[in-house]
Amino acid sequence: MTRLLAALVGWACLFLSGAAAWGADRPKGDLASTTSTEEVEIRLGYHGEEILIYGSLPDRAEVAIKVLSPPEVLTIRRKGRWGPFWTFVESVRVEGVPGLFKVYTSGPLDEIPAAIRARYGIDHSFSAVRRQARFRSPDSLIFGGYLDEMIALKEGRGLFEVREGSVEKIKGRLFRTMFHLPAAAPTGTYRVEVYAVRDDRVIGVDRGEIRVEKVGLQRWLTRLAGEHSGLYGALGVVLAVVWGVGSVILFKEKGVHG
Amino acid sequence: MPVEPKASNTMEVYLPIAGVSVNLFLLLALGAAVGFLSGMFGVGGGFLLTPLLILIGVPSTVAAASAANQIAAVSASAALLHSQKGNVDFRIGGLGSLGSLAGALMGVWSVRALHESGSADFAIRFGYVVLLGSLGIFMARESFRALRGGLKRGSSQIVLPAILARWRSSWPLQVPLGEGSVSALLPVAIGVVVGLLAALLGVGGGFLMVPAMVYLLGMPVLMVVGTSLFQIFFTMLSVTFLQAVTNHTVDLVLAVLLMLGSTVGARFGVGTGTRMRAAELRMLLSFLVLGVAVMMLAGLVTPPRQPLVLSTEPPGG
Repeated sequence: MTRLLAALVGWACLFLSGAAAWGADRPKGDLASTTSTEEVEIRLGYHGEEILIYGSLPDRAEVAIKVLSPPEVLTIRRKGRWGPFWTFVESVRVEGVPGLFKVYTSGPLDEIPAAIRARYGIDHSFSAVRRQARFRSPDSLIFGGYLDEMIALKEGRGLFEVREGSVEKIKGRLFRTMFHLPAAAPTGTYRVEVYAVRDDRVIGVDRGEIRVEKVGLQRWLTRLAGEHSGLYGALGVVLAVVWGVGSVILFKEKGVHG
Repeated sequence: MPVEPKASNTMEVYLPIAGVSVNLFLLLALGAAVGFLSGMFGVGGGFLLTPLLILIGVPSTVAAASAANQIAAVSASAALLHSQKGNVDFRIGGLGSLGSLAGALMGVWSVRALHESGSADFAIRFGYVVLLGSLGIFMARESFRALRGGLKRGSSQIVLPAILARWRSSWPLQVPLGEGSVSALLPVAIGVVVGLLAALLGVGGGFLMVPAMVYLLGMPVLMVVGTSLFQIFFTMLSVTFLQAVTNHTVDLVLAVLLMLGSTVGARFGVGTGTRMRAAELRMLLSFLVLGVAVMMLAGLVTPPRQPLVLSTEPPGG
């Protein structure tokens, strides 16, 4: 709630400054963007986040926004028949694919020349993802098929997305869109790239970052489990003993048999 | 603006190790339901908990390891109560626990090897189908007989303990048990099997240990439940620790929520269970067990809606 409020305040400030700049000798062709938050904190009740991306844009320009998370190392496993059962029959490892990749535009993507779409990685086929994917597996030679299915899977989970016309333009000078970060999205520093396109050319690029990090208990537990797994295991043991003995003392519980 | 707002008042809780966000009340209800059943039927409930966690989206390896932690807590209180009444044979329980530790070590390493080859999920699900399927059929048959024909016993059940009695007294390393003695190898062997199942499937193994202690060890029935609970407690503690160190699959947030739910649920279950006839209770439980087995089997033999599964690793890992 507070974040939304902050976004609205930020939005209002921007609107005012934009209005102020209207009269000033502001050079045309300026692109400026920001996000309602630069840090997303994963706490106990975390279930994703809505982030406002907004800013000012040059006259008559269209906007395309790309948001991507750091690349991951993925194992893709395929289920197939094994006797009467369905189990994993094939697996490939792929590197360089971002966990999240989203494109938001103010107008139809077709109105942007194909060369620009390809160069900036703003197209329906996720060509930027395809270019950077590196397969590390001798198992299979049909990597293209894996990529198609992986992209479809990530689209289904809201991690990959292309939304045309989702960026709202206000009075031709301001823009805003809502970026939905799903709970399953990875942690790390996300890149936000905003492109202003006019007359089949990119006339401005602005970049920003959003950090998605576990904080508090989430961070502590994850670190402990990864870096001091012995201590973490001991914590689980102590917890079980204290809980078991504690509930006997507290409730004078009747026996629960195993 | 073409952006649909997301409801922010859902009570989701993010599980740091599982890496998924699940509904808090669903999780508490699950813990309570399993606690209720374990209180009612006198079972650990791990055999139900792990499959149900898998069904709501928790990765199977995390489900099995975190359930182990929850069962350790539940069996700790039950074992403590039994030991206060003097119903725990610490010698046999201790030997069994040693065996469990060895079995758990083997199990945890198998999980790791299976995980690396990508077949851990299949192995866990398949293990459940076999275990619950055979257990369910056995229990259903037994309780059906008891409900219909009273206490008529099959001849095999009389002959079997007689043969075993000869075996267990002729094997080396005799330790005292009740009025007789038993080879120390037997409780250790039972422990190894239980530890292996515990690490692989996240079950306490009480359903296996109770008949094994009665028929293989010839332990006085009064001591069996308390001793098996003591051993379950120790087994699950070892599994929790070993899974945390070897496979990083224990989710403490998940475990605590399950403990919370099951502690409450068990209290209502005990009351309900004592008002029902034992045979009816077992019949009901066998249906439950068979139901879970059929559901898991269906998941294995029906074509998956999504044949591809993605798993991420830390870069360089």
